[in-house]
Amino acid sequence: MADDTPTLTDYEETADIEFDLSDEEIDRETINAELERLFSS
Amino acid sequence: MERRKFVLSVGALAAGGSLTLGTGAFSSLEAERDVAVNVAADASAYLGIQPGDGPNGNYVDTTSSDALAINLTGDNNNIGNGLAGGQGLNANAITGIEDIFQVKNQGTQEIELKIAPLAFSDVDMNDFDGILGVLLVPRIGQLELRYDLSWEPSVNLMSISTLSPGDKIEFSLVAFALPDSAVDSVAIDDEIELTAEAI
Repeated sequence: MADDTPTLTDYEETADIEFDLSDEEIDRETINAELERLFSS
Repeated sequence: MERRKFVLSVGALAAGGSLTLGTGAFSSLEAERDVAVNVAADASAYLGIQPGDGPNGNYVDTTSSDALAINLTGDNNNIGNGLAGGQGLNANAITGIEDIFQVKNQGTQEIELKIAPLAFSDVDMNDFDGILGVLLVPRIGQLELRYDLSWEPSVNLMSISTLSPGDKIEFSLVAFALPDSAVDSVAIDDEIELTAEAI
């Protein structure tokens, strides 16, 4: 990935970790939206 | 090559933790003449590591060795002077902090900047009662695409080139602490390493 808005999945792949949000009230799309807002701000 | 470390302390509410940047020489020389060399604090060194220009720069404070530290805990020295008493992240929430710190090339040559890690996590493994994630976000999405941003999977590292003398890159932060029971069950106390190499 280069110069594209990063997503939570990109961070997980980069760090070789996985966030299990399946039982959480906050979903991945909400986190991705915040990443996009800050990356482009 | 200059390598610095940065301290990160993050907790859900009152949990302890800190992101720290250390110091290093930008270059070295040996000569038979008078030489005056200073080791500068992070903000004024050749690789300038500084709090963000806005109010969110108060989430960064200084360690005892003058290194900067992202400090999202009750130990932040700016509490009461820029921070109005907050002592940690909200649980069951996503927190976005814009322009928390910046890295500026205050040397003489173009550099490639590498920063690692980009993602931090903690999971309460005893009863799976909390997840804490912290992600660093470079703010370059609306700049001219003269920076080459690359992510290196599995090594948790991002490189940015080319950073010319006087250029700076601002960083924001996204953090999430889930669920409500994450309070006092998860925390991060780690370091970020910045490496600058002339190109």
